[in-house]
Amino acid sequence: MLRNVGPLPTAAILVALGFGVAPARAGEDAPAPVAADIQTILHEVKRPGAAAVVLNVWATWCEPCRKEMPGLLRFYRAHAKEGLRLVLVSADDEADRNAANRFLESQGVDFPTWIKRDSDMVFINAIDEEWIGNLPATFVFDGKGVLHDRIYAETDEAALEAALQRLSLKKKAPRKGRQP
Amino acid sequence: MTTPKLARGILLASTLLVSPVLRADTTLPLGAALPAANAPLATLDGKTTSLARLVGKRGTLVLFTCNHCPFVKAWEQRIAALANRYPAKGVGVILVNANDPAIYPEDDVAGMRARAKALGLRAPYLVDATSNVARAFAARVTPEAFLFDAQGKLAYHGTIDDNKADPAKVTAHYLRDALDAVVAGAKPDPAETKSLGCGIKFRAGGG
Repeated sequence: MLRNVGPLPTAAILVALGFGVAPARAGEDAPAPVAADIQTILHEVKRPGAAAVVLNVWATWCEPCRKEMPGLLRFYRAHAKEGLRLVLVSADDEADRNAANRFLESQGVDFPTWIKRDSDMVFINAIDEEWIGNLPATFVFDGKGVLHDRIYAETDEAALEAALQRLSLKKKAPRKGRQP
Repeated sequence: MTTPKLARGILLASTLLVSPVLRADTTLPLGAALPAANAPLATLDGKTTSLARLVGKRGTLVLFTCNHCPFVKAWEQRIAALANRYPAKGVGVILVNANDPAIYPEDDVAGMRARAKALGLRAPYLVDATSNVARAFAARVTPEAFLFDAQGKLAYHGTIDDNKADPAKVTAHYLRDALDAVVAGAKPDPAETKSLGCGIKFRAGGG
């Protein structure tokens, strides 16, 4: 829980994590979600070059998922140049890929996204064994693809900023000898 | 990449001011006793009951569900079939809706009555009017099944089967097989399963 202090500038957090400015992907054509197995998706999470990675699982049928998407994208767009990567994974059936694409286009998503292909249990447990499968769900990884935080509910920019703060603290703690 | 000294300083200062707390969500463990057994639950005709009044001699199934969720809708015929079949085998079956109808009006009592009627549901479909029963179970998703054995210990926790979209393509009938195991006095295998679903829309002010 954050005490009542103003949030650090995210740029400072990301730089302090040891990463500089990463090239943004904005401006590319809007590709349709790519059907992928979880290993491909996790490879995207672990792909070098990010200071932190936010993985969001959403679906067209999920109202809170649609509701949180604008804030999630604002957060990403505000910090993409600082090394934040956003991995959007649709939990829609592959047959609903067009509907997923229409929603993403309506949100101005201009970077590659994914649609899950594995069975639910394989998909859920590969991301986070503590996750029961409720949507929406958002996961915060460090730049090496290690899961540090999860939000099993509709999220917003404040919650994401707080998650990034916690990530920065966990990264720093071993150097200070405060955690094993 | 080298970390700028200024940023290091800012971050170091922040470690002194910000307390990092991460809480893993709890899950009701296998072997746990029936939670909130005496908590009030409302029937669709306005009466009050509790899980304790509805337990079965051979087992008890508590299934958190709702009306609006597309995943529930995909499984609702199968859920109703199980709910209607297993009481005759000694299993108490209770469906619980903990969702706040202020968030999804379709999940109100009128909607529950309509779904129960349309499905020919004979098992009780109850209102968790504070969402506190769901909280006591650490339930998070609909549909989510908790099956207790004849001794009242949690024997199975999870989903319905492995194919919500097409009953004809189901290869693992998780809940049905778990019910059969409990009726036979055996341990379900698997005892824990998962599926994607809708997060429970908890009512405010509970806990």
